[in-house]
Amino acid sequence: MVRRRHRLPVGLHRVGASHRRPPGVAEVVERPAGPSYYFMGKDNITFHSQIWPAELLAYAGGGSRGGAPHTYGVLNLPTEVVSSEFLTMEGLKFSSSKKVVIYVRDLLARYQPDTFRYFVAAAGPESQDSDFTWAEFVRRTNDELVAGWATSSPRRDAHRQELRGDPDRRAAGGR
Amino acid sequence: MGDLIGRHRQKAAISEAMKAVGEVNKYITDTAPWTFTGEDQRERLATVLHVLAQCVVDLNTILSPFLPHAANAVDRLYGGTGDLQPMPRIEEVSDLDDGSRAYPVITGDYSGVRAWRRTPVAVGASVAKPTLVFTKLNPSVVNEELAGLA
Repeated sequence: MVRRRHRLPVGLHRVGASHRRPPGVAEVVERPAGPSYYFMGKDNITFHSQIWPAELLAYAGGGSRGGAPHTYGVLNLPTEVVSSEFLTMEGLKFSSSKKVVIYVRDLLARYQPDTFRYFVAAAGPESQDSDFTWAEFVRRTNDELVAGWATSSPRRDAHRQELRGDPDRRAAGGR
Repeated sequence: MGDLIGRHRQKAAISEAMKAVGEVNKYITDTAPWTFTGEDQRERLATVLHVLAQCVVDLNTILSPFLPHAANAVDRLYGGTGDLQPMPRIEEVSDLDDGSRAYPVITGDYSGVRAWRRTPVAVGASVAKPTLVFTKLNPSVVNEELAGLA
């Protein structure tokens, strides 16, 4: 009954396999093990790290009062709860009704998607609240991606020329 | 850096990567390969360019989780085939418990992802004509976007 110990909580995704279809009840029961990562804002930490695991344990009879596993058997506890802090924009709380909002379709129409991925990774609210400002977005894009990375990547060394190298380097394999 | 990503310390991971970018830029400045104009300096020039090419391919690999579109573009310049970082896609699926209900999901097939490790640049390899990876933003963007906030 090893498989029963590795069932997933209903409706949650797991890592390590392609998801041609979203996991539903039947698939959760049938699929083998996989780690489960929960991504959320900090306001959900208490629920997903205490209440939700307690419910999963109780469902499977794993609480202090015991009991038997229900229909879907023993459900996986979270492998890791990954939480972020809060993100504001220009010092304001995001609100679509107040137009403090960035729509993805606008971003993709106006900017390169990687520039936003970079900003969120480099300056996002990973361990403390952070503020998105357009000035900082422009600065990071121009200073770090254009002047930093893009300068060292294709511009200076891609001269469509043969890379001859010294004798030691000739021993290197490659594509 | 891989360990940092594995522990979801993205900020620290990208900081390490950008430090390495800075080191490579310093190497370019220090060696100044554009000054190797003499015939007797061709061997030295070739060596420096090869080191740089390897650095770029390595940096592109370590930055690829953060900059997947750019990474795929740079990878193709250096002879890569397929995607270094496959992209997710939106797919319409039917509910497993209720086949009459359909909805879009973000999914992807990542089974063919290349291993996250060094790809040696072969001596003598050609590098394709460079293309723009990132476009510099005009500072006027700031005021234009702030105007939409009001």
